[in-house]
Amino acid sequence: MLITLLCCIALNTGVGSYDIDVVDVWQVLVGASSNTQHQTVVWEFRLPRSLVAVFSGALFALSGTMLQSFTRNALADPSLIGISQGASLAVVTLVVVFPELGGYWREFSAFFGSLVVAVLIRIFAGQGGSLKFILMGIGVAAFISALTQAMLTYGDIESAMSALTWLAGSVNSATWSDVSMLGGATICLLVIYVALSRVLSPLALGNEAATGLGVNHFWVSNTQLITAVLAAALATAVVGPLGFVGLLSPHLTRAFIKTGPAFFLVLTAFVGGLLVLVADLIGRTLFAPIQLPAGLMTSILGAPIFIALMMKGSANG
Amino acid sequence: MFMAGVTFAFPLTIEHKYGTTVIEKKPERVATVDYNGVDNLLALGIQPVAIRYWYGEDELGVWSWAKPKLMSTPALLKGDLNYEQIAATHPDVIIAIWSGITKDDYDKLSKIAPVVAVPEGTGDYSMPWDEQALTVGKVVGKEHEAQNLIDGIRQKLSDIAAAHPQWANKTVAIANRWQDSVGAYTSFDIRPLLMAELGFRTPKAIDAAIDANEFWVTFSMEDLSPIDADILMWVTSTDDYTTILEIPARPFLTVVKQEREIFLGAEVTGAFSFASLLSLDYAFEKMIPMIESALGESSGTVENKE
Repeated sequence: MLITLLCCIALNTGVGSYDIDVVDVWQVLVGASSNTQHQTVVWEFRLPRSLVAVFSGALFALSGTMLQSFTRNALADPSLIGISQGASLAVVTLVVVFPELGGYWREFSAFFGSLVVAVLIRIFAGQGGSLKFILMGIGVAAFISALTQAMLTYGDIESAMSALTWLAGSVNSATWSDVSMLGGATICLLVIYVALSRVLSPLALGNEAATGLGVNHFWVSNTQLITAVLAAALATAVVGPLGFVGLLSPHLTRAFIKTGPAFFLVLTAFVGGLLVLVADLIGRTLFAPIQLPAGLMTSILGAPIFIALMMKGSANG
Repeated sequence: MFMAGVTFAFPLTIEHKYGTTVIEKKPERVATVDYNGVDNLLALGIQPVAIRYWYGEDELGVWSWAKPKLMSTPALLKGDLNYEQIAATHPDVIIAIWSGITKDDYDKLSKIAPVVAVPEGTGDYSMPWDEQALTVGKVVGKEHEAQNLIDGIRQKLSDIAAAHPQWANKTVAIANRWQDSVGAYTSFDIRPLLMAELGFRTPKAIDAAIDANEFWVTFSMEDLSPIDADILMWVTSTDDYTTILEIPARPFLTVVKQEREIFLGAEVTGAFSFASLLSLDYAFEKMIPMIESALGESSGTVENKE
């Protein structure tokens, strides 16, 4: 899996609208190239883009996995239960109402928006079953999408246009600071989740059973929820709401391999990263030099893969 | 206004909303990420190495008024800005004054070549046509030529106005259908601004409908009275006017009953929207007879004078 991922990063770094042959790309990477144009293209355009794709994919995947575990429902995904929509609404509001604010405000408002949504759903759903949580989430998601649309209509054309570009989900303007932030978040979450993974298996048996086995259900589930929100919000803030990655990655991983929860989480993160990377690679090369936003490609690719996966699953079952 | 800054010494320093850009020497290879950017460069005799597609039937998005001047095949930028594609054209300078680039875009583009962005306080698409032309002129070291062309267009506009004193203070509403409402340009937009040079005014009811400096405002289909002006000018991206003819309340407007409507059509609308050194001449040449006949005047006055 790691090798596949590295190969894809290499491929994504090796091809593009600027014609550089593989040898030159390698020379740039090892610092042996004196061609400044090549250095710019590889270091400033291709690498940050590839890495942002991988890390945002990984974060969406981890968020999806945690939400599915938290709700004990295979349907859960940050964009299904309103977490991505909360982030979108907050960012669109920021872009339309305070267009002069830049920097980390976007990440901050995305996290804040998602968290408010998650807390609201949590309160509304109460101690009810996880299905109630998901149904609440779907309702809230629809409500928030409507608010976002209203915000786009209300805002002036120029800021609405820049908000729309972001909503399409793109890794085009990825920077190194995005890379370090998403990368750091991915590693932190992986560490937390691997540490948590020991208690995840008993949780899958149900709350009562898990408590009986000595799991502090309250702390574990809240950690799951908050980190899932954080992961989705950070990734959304940088690349926009990418469809399907959070839902698809855990299912795809499960279809390929049966393993313990710790390794499963790491693998899912890889699968998520790979999905977005491949989506970007195809989006960039299919109609080159015209680029399709990665958000569009994850949905175009993700939906058929998901359906195929489900059909295969039902054939076996 | 007259021959401002005749010395165009490089290095040229330009202040803009993303910082300061220094252009060391007169650029040879010029890239533009502006949707209307190809026109002004061609007008100044520069063959750009990269241009941005906006809209239109032409595969390069270069319209009839500019096409004959295009001698090369520039890289065509479509959709999201593809930085690599721009880098591959090895530009000496990148012009971005009508492009909506973000700070991130600016930072990336600056790694390729010096980037000229809009001044602080100017909206992404609100730099006036003459300022756009003059900025391009400065950047490519042809400020004098740019100023001459601008003066030429101004002169033509004032000649037209002088030949039609009866146009002074007449109102013109410049409108389009947008989904389920009808929109009109306010007096902050380039189109009414140019019409004002000919003596026309924007109806007060249109400007009264905005609260700041928006250039466009929409009205409900149920009450079109704000656009019931001395002239109602429709701008469209096609030559098919069905969506406008179908507006239920349109036949009840006085301006429609008295046949003082103008349908500009795709080509003239495009020329008006590009608002470039090449397109404005074209736009007014086509528009003047339309205005004259809408107001029931004998057409051809301007052509006869020249």
